[in-house]
Amino acid sequence: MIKSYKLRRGIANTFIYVVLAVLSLVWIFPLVWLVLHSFRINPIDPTIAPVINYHGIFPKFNELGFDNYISLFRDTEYLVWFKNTFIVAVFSCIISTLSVLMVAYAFSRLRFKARKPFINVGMIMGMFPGFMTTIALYHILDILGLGRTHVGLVLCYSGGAGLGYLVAKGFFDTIPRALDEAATIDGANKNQIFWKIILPMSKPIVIYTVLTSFIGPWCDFILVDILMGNERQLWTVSRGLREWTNYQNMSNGSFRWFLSGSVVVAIPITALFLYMQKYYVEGVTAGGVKG
Amino acid sequence: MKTRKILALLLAVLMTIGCLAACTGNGGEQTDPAGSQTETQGTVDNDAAAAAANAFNADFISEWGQFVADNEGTEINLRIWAPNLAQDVVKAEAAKFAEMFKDYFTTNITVEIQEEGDTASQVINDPKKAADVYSFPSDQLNKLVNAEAIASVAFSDEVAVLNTANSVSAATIDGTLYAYPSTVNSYFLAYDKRVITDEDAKTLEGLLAACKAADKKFTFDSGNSYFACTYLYTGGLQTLGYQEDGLTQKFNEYDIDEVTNTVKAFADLFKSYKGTFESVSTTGFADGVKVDPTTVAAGVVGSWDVASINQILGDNVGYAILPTINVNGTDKPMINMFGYKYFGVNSQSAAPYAAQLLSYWLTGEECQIDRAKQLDWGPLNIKAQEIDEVKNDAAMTAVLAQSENSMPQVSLAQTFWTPLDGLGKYVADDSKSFSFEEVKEQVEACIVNILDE
Repeated sequence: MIKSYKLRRGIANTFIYVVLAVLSLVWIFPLVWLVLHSFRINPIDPTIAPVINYHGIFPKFNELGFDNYISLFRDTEYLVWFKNTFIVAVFSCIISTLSVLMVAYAFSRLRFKARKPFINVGMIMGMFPGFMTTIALYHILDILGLGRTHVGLVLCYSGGAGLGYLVAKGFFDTIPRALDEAATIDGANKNQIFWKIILPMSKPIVIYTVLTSFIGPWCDFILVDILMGNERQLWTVSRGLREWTNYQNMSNGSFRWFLSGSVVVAIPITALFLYMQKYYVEGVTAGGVKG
Repeated sequence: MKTRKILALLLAVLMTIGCLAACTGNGGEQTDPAGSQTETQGTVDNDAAAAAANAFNADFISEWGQFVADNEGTEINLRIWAPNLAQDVVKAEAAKFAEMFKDYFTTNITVEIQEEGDTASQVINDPKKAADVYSFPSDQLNKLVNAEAIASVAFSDEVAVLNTANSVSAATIDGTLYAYPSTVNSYFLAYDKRVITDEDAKTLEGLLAACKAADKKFTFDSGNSYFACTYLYTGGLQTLGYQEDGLTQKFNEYDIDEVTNTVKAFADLFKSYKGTFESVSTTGFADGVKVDPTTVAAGVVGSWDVASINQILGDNVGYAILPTINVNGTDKPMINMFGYKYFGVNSQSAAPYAAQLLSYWLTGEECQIDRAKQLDWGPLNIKAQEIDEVKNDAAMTAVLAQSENSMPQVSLAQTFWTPLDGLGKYVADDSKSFSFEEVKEQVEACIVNILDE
């Protein structure tokens, strides 16, 4: 047994940091690789796609350039996909945010008979993975005449969004009910309380909900793949990126578009993150206390 | 403070990329069992032969144009699925079709991108929304026929006369021709003429020696069953459709020792040319020659790689049939698997007659020549194979010659692929050498697994 506290702490810390360093490398390295290699071009002729099976981790200096990005915007349908992704994500985000916040408010403030059963059902339904129902969704949307449309896609993303109310409900629970009562005495109804009293005080959780409901559709692949079939004009970026990794396209150099496309699609969402970052952190912790 | 901001920015970028990268990593679907019965073609009567010879003459156009107009109306909408590379060519061909029949009906044809790798899945997912006419590789035929998503060929007599017998029999199931042959789809040898002489390219040993001397690699996708089946076929094993149950693979009376010796010969070459004989996907060749200095001197490549290789190597590339391999003193030609690409007519097409007519046109002599000239796609039309552009094209000559040393990709059981993936990886393992018994055990296990349902 080591007597010295300092030594013991030193050894423990070293061990912990080594483990953490290894974990962080495993996590972060593929991403660094992706970004670096999205700038890797063919040094002999930049118009030809660079080597796919690259021997080496870091590209050499003379192999760096912007040609992959130029080619991405010039030679592909990337902008169409990007626009689609944006439209779908924005509309899903608006609908799901409203739905999440309203459900959370109802469960937090209103007392009605079916409240407990609804909460339980919601919890259980939330356990099932969303892609379970994709085939059913496809046929239902088809019957409704919404098959292979963005409206259908937005509906699928935002339809069940209300189930994600838990964190928001936790946040609303921390707002004193005395405020509601005061507003009621002044003549406000439940609806007015929600919009005029609760929401202005819940900025962090609103931001958090906006972010999460934006990221979902932005990154989703499975639903788009099944609902949109091969209608390329309707694809979102993630479906398009997938297309660029199939072997027939790979031999024609599509892998460079995959790399640069993955980086570009991350930009708007990164911007959103950065812009809302400080609220985001507050939102998570504030909701967590009672969640 | 500033560094923290930068760090935060970096992390945020990486996190978001991460969530996207996870969405898209899934690899392509493995090729599925293929084909149809290798039955002999029914005798084709002389009328059909004569009609085929004059395909798309004035009589044919007026007769069928009128027929379609009478049955389907004078305005017809058709959709075609073709791969990205072929879009422009197919659009031009479709425009010619519309022009030809314009006196009888108006055709609005849209050509949409659908990579052939998952045509069948996309068609089967929702045949009503799939194109009227779609192109697909031979291995997807069984799937399409089983799902009743493909209509049988209306011009079967003519098609049978016009195209190579193998390509027709590979699209025939229980006596019914289901698809219009369009182009060859196989693999063969490509080499860098600056390093490898034509003489070297004839034997695998010569090739490897020349590659080793130049300190460059030879690439072959051993871990992929589509290529690894070469080991068994070269050893004398043949796939002859299904057994009586219609599911289990049927083989010829092969000599297990001969097969084992051949597989061992490949495995030994992997060992003795460690660092030269490399198992990597077919893009490995193009990858290796586009760097300076080049790292690869020869490789087995697919028809689908030719365009990008030509772009890089130009006149310095040579194409040939797969080399011979020396098995205990005898040089044996490598036997590969040979597939085809077809155009199929959607069984749920709203304009089936026009769709049949369009497929017949798209796979006719003129269109096959078009694609041969513009895309380097080897034709299956017998007359198209005779034109100078095809005969003088190294890649197309090589692939057509390779068809002589090949097993057609027809009637392969569901279980055919996975065991061969394993055997291919075993052969390519150059870390230790194997005895005859060890290899035999592996080969037998592989065959048993293929036979297993």
